[in-house]
Amino acid sequence: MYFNVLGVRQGQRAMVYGSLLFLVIFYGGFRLWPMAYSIVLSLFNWRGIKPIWEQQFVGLSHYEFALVRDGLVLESLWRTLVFSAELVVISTVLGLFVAVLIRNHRRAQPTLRLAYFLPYIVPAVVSGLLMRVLFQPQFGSVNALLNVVGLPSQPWMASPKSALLTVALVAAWARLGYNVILFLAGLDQIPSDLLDAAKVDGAGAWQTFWRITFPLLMPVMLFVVVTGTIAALQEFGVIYAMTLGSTEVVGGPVRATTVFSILLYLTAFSEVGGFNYSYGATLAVILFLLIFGLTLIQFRVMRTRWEY
Amino acid sequence: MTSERIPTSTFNQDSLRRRDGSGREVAAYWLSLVLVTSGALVMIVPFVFMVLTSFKTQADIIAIPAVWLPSQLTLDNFVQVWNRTLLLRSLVNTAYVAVVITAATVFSSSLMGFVFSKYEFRGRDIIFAISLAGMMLPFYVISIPLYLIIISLGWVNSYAALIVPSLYNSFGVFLMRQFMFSIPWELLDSARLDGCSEFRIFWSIALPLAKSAAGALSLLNLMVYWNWFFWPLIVLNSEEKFTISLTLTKFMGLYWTEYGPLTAGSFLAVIPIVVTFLVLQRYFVEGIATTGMKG
Repeated sequence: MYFNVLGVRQGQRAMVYGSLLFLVIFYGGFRLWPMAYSIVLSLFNWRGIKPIWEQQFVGLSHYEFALVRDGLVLESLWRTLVFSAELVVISTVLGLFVAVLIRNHRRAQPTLRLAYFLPYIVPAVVSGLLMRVLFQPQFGSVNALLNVVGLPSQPWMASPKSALLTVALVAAWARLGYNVILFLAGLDQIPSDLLDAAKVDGAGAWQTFWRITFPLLMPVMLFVVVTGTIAALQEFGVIYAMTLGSTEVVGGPVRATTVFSILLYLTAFSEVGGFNYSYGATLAVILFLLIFGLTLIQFRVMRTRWEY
Repeated sequence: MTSERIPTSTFNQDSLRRRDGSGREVAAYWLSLVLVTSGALVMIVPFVFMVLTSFKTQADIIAIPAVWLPSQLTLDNFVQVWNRTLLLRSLVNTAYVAVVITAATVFSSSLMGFVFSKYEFRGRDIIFAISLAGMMLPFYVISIPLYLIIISLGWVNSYAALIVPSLYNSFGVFLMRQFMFSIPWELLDSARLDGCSEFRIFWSIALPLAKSAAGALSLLNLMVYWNWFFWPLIVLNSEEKFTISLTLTKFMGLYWTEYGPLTAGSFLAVIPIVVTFLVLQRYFVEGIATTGMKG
């Protein structure tokens, strides 16, 4: 068989070459090629569906414009980082807290776990929609509850000052259950003899947690933080649903929640940005570099062997 | 797995309480139970609100001060959803897209996982490493060129635009390969001696053994594609084709102050995925615990 360049055994050829063909068409054609195409787009002033030789080459000037001169991009990069930090810190700290507490209650654990996980299962759009109603400043239940315990009403999504934190809270609510499950799995892997030894040596629960449990949870913690950050940098549905008004513009009020994914959407796929594919692709490549860096850290962390 | 009978850690307060239960420990036990239970209630409050509001009359909904429990039950909101939107149609659309993608990706990921873990050929590991790089590609990054490709193929506003680009799943191949590694060679070789074809060996020996991984992957994909929003938002533009998230946002843009129909629509949108989750959740908890699952 002269075409059998990979030296596949008789009888396995159909499956191996079939898989590779599948890989070339669907991975090559709909993942790798678009990635390369994205970089090409960002180097041109691409208009309409015309061949490359009829497009205007502009080199790196889109990148220069985006990172040096376009205030909107820098502003929204900063906003994305603030949003991601808020989301990751809230959902990680609470996730660990809940997991440690839930673990003490073996019988109630499946039910409690399900309750915490429910927001993760439902569509982001549904979460955004329901929360939008609950956080409504005049009649929403959240402010009603605050008033009951004697706190003043908050403007939430109505004010540019609090809108970003509000969407971060909602996104953290949606992600919390996922972190709880990861931390529970991590807690299960801690050898019980270490905890027993601490007990025998007279360590209190508090001391045991900070000296033994917490350090041993570091691998899970890093995984939660890194994957959580990667997901947070791409959050879209919740923000879209919480800010969609009568016009197609999202990310308000006055751009307060225009994170990077929203800016990309507005630039490339809406009337607002005039369907600017090239500039959108430039933003996409910038986002890719950001996430690529984080993924490298994640792979490094996951390859590290952690000895107990 | 920790055994039920042997108390494995002193943090297991259930057994502690039975054994000695000093006052402080009992107090801590109840305090933590109250804390996590209140937390759990806060988590599900939006859904309780959703279910209650969807059965409320308009008078109850706009009442000030707000009433939580409906004074009388009505199906009017569901009737309005039925009359004013194609919500049921979009539920079918979403199920169709999610099931087709899930079935195709679970099958192809399993087959490729099998090929990459059990067969030997030149360049296997390099090809696998390249195919893994897809896990690092955020969808936004390829969305613009992908849209241009979809336009050239004439697939705008069709399900092909949703299904075809999703058929290859890097994470799925990775997960299934990891799982297929643990299948013993002897089992496959003895089937070979019996004259089984290679596809038969994959289909009736390897795949059943990797059932729990395939189950976890199926549930994960069903969830991801049921909740899919960004890409359908870009490629679909007619109401008959809309997936559930799109129908809900369109409805929201127009009538977002009408909480009744809005919550009724949301309720209908979450039922199928929550039921699917409850049926398949044991695979998911196993899977998420061993692999960490998606980002």
